[in-house]
Amino acid sequence: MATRKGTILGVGLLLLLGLLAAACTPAAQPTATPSTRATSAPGTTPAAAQGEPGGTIRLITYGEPPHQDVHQSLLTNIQGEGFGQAYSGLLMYKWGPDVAALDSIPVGDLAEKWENPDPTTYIFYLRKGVKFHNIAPVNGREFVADDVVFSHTRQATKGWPNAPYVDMVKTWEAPDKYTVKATLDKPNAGFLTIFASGYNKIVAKELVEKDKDLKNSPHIGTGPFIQDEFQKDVMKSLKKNPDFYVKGQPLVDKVEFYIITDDSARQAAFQTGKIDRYGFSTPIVKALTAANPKLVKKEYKGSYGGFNFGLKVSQKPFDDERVRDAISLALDRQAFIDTVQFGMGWFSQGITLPKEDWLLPQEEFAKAWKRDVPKAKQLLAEAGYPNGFDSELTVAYTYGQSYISGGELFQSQLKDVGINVTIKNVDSPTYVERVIQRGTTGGEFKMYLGPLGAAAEASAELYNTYHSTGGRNVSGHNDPKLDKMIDDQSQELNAEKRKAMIMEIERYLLDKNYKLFIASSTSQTLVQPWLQGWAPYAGGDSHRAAILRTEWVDSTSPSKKK
Amino acid sequence: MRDYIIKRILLMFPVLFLVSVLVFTLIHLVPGDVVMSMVADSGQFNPEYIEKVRHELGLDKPLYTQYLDWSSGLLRGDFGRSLWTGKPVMGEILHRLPITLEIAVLAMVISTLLAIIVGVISATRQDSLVDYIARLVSIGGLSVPEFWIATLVVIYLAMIFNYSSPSGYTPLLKDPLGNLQQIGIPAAIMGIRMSAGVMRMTRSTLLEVLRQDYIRTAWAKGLRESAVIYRHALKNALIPVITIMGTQFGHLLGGTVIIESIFMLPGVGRLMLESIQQRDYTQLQGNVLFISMAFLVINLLVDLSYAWLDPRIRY
Repeated sequence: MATRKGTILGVGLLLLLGLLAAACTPAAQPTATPSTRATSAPGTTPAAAQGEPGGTIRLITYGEPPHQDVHQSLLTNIQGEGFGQAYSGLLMYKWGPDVAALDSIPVGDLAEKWENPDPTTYIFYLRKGVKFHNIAPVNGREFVADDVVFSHTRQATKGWPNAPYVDMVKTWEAPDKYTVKATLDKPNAGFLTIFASGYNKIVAKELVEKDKDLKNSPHIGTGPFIQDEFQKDVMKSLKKNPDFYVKGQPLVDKVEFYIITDDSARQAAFQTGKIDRYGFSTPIVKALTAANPKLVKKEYKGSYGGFNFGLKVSQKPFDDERVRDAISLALDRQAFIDTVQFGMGWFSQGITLPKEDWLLPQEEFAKAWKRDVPKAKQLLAEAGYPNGFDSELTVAYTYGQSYISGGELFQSQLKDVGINVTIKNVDSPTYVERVIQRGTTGGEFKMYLGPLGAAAEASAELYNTYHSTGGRNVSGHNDPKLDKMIDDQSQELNAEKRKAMIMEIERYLLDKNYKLFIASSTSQTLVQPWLQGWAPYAGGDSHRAAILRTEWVDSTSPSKKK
Repeated sequence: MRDYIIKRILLMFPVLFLVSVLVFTLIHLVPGDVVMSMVADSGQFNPEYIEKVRHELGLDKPLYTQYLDWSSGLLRGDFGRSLWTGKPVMGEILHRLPITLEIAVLAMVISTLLAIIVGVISATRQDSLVDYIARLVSIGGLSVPEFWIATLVVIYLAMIFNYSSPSGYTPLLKDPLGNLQQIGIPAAIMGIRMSAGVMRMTRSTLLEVLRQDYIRTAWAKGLRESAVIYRHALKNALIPVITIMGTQFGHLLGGTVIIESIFMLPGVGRLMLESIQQRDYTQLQGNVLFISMAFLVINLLVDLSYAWLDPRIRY
């Protein structure tokens, strides 16, 4: 009797598990830097996209932004990976298979062309007949020059995070309905490149006047997509703007952004075809491509940003150039690329350059950064540290496993020259507070390993990080010679001359070791076989992500099979 | 009984006060704040902006002032506004609570069914093969963390069956089957793992009860096995089991942090994780306080259920 009941209970248990199983059955910078007396530097717009229309592109984003105002946020999850797709700007970066991912080439978007009659004046000629989305209170009215003046004046509000992308313009004027005149406070070699950034979006005046703020407002712009579905903390989608000013764009009917924060969930979603492309880490790329050889893997140099090894230069012992040189010689950057980055890295100093050929040759970096333990020990001895010293390395571990592994690798490499490092792992808010925010006034670190997000243009990075007065000069160095070199290049409008000046700065930085930049990452994006027309964002500009205008999905896409 | 309930409710206030002080102090001891999180995400840094936002959010006030502002709001039933989104804290919790409740209730159902059934079989067939297997599995369940099981389940379902949870979130009332596809697996993982502890408790208390004189009497009277086990023994063995289940349900409300992230479910657990990562003090404080309140209420209900299970217990 008891046995039979036990069997019945067991069957019941199996049925329950069966039911559960059933539930889960598959069903930078301008190349055309304006010369001092140039009268025009016409922009061009990308050719109309070619591909099959329709379908949906499904992408991953990483969370909800704190608010919805595109002028008060630098977060990717509102700018390019989300409702920021509802907007456009006067300029954007050129993209496509013929454009190197690192090159930031400004082209017209809402502006058809532009000219700079003198070094501080830019005149933009706008497209005619462009309409805002047909949503109240804007109701599809025409976009005109006053919108540019209003938007960029608003964006330049003192203290707003997006202000540095337009605040070099002293005055905005609208001489007529389709012409905008920008007057800069001084010549700025990087102006067009910075201005083409996706952070510079045109918003509607009526909406700002109605809501006073855009933090909780709908997204009404002139962009290729219109705000559609919103499931808070889950997903957001935008539908095609049928009145978009570039005929034939966008090609897809819809774009969806899913908030997936867990690595295994991202991998599973991609593997099962629910996501169309994503930039995975090397081990996951290997696992996914082994499981599905049809996946397309794109490798490219996507951004100058990367791994930053900083020192508190204003304090002992790092105020001694010999100590900094010794540390640089103790670090084996190539080993870092080979092991921690699985070979997916390259040398740079984290400075966004207009074109890749402005970067020092890789051989020059390799020579300067070749590991030399005996010489490092000799330099330490000359600096008065024959037995090395104890120090602390703050590691921003929440930015990824590479930082944790990198910290451990550098700890062992520094030990070889007698520098005993204690690792202090901190999360990103702690890192920003202790290193970045308070770094310029002292900070709470000795050495640190953290990310360096690439700025939009070389001058921005040089002023921020390397100028003595820079807001991110957390090393605390003060070098009038370097300051002058930075000032001079920023006002040099001749591209060739500026290129030489910037390369001289790169060599000077290699010599001074104010920062021991480690490496930039080679990006990897996995693309489903049905997604076509994808190319890396120009200059790493994920804030406009204009590539979505020309991407398309073929008939094998799950979104077309539905 | 009424006096007992009133006394217990009054005792909740000092507990909640202590919780509020503790959570406020602990989260403020952690370096960085919500503004640092905002700039950390963007990778850009603007000192003026940071100071401005800190001032707007009241983070430049002394800590005791911040605590008094927050706690005086609590006394008026106002949990404050999220520092990250600016939206009411309680609204954010209530928006996400149904998802967590759904997971918790389904996990409890799975856990209870498995634990009681297997526990009874294991106790009534002590030292048999079935008993050994059940004990082995339950020790395994207690030893393995659920986030590890969840990660393996997600990856292997994708690799072997080409299956992953549907994208987006489907509310229960809109599409129950679609909802079950999203909630079912995480609830099953939590439920099966939780059942290990309950099963072991059911087994041991039932073994104890089965050795009591009144059970021997029941057998001697010639009662059927089901009557002896379920009517006489199991009911009396359930008091410690229900205590554990009550505690586990409380844990479930705040313990879905990792599971919800892995399965892309926007519940209270994920809200808690995000609040910590974003240093959203008010949201985190509100979450912890809310879960503490839920814990206290559940404990009270568990205590009251003793009287129903054992008529000898009176308050």
